Amino acid sequence: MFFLTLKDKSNSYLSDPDVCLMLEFQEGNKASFETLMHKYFPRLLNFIYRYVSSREAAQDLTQEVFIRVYKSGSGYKPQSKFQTWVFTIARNLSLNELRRNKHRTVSLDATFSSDDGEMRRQVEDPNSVSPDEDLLRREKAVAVKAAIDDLPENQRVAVLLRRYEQFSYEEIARTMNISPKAVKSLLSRARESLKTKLAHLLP
Amino acid sequence: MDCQGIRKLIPIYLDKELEPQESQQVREHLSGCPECQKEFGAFEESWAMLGELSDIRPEPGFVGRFWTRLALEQSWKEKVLGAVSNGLIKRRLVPVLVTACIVVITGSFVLHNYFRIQTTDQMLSSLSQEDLAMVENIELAENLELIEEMDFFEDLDIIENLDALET
Repeated sequence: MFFLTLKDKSNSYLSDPDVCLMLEFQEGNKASFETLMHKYFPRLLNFIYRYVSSREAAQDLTQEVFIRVYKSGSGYKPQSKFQTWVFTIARNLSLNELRRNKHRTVSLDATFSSDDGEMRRQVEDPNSVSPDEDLLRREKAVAVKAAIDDLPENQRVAVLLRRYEQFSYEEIARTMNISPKAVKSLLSRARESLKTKLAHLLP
Repeated sequence: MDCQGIRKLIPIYLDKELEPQESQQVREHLSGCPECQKEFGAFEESWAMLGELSDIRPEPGFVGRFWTRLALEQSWKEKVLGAVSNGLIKRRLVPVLVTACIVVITGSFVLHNYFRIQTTDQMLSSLSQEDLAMVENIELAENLELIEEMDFFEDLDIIENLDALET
C-alpha cells in the first residue's frame, strides 16, 4: 500500500479494486493474480465463447488472455479499469481467431454446446410450436445464438458487452476503441436486427 | 418527434443512456402511441430473450492448467526476467541486497586487516632475540651507514670554515 501512495494520486483507476490487485501482482503477489483469474475467467470464457462460437477455442483463448495479463504484469500501468483492459485483450484475441478461421463457416445445422447440453442449430420455423417448455427454451437459445452470430462483428461485441457484461456505453467505447456515439449507433442497429430475427419467438 | 424518430431512440432509452430531455420525449410519446408501445415491447422482449443463452463453465482445474501452460511457454530467460521485473528483486529484495553488499564489503575489509595483523605477529614471533635486536637497532644501523659513507675530514673542513662561508 505504501507503494500505491507513491503513485500518481490523480489516477482515478487506482480506486478500481481489480487494478489494485493487478498492482499487488506486479509487486510479486501471485495470490492477487489468482484472485483476478477466479473472478474474470468465467466471464471472459463466456464472452469469448459467444463471440467465436467454439467451446474449445474459448477455453484456449481465455487461458491466452491470462498469459498476456501475466506477461504484462511487470510493465502494467493502470490506464483504464481492469475489466476494460482484459476485455480488450479478449476481443483482440477472438478477432484474430475469427480471422484465422475465416474459411470456417458455421452451418445452421451444426450443433453447439452449452452447459445445458448439446443443441442443434436450426433454421427457425415460425410455425413449429412445441408443447414441451424445455424444448421451447432450447429452441429459443438456438435462435438467439444464431441471431447473435449473424450480427456484424462490431455489433456482436457491443451486444455481448452490454447484454451479458452490463458495460456502460462509455466502457464499451473504451474497450472497442470507438466513440460513445458510435456505440449508440451500433447497439441501435444490433437491437433492431435482433428484434427482427427473434420476432417469431416473441409472445 | 414522429414515430420513426422515437423508434430509433427506444433501444438507447431502454439502456438508460439517453439525455434527460430525449428520455422525456420518448416517455411522453409512448404514453400516447399504442404502435410505438408495441415496438417498445418487442425491443424489450427480444433483448430479454438473449438471457436464454446459458453460460458455460470453465473446465475444472483451469488455474492449475494455466500455470502449467505458462511454465511450458516461458523460456528460462523469461522466467528470470519475469522474476526480476515482477518486483521480486526490484522491490522486495533491494534492501536485502544492499545490506548484503555492505556486509560483504565491510567484512572483507575487517578480515583483510585481521589477517595482516596476524601475519605480522606470526612473523615477529618467529624471530630470534638477535633478529629482534637487529630490528630495533635498524634505524641506528641505517644512520651508521650514512656516517660511514661521509668523507669525514672534508666535511669537517667545511664545518670549520662555515663562518667564513656565511660572510
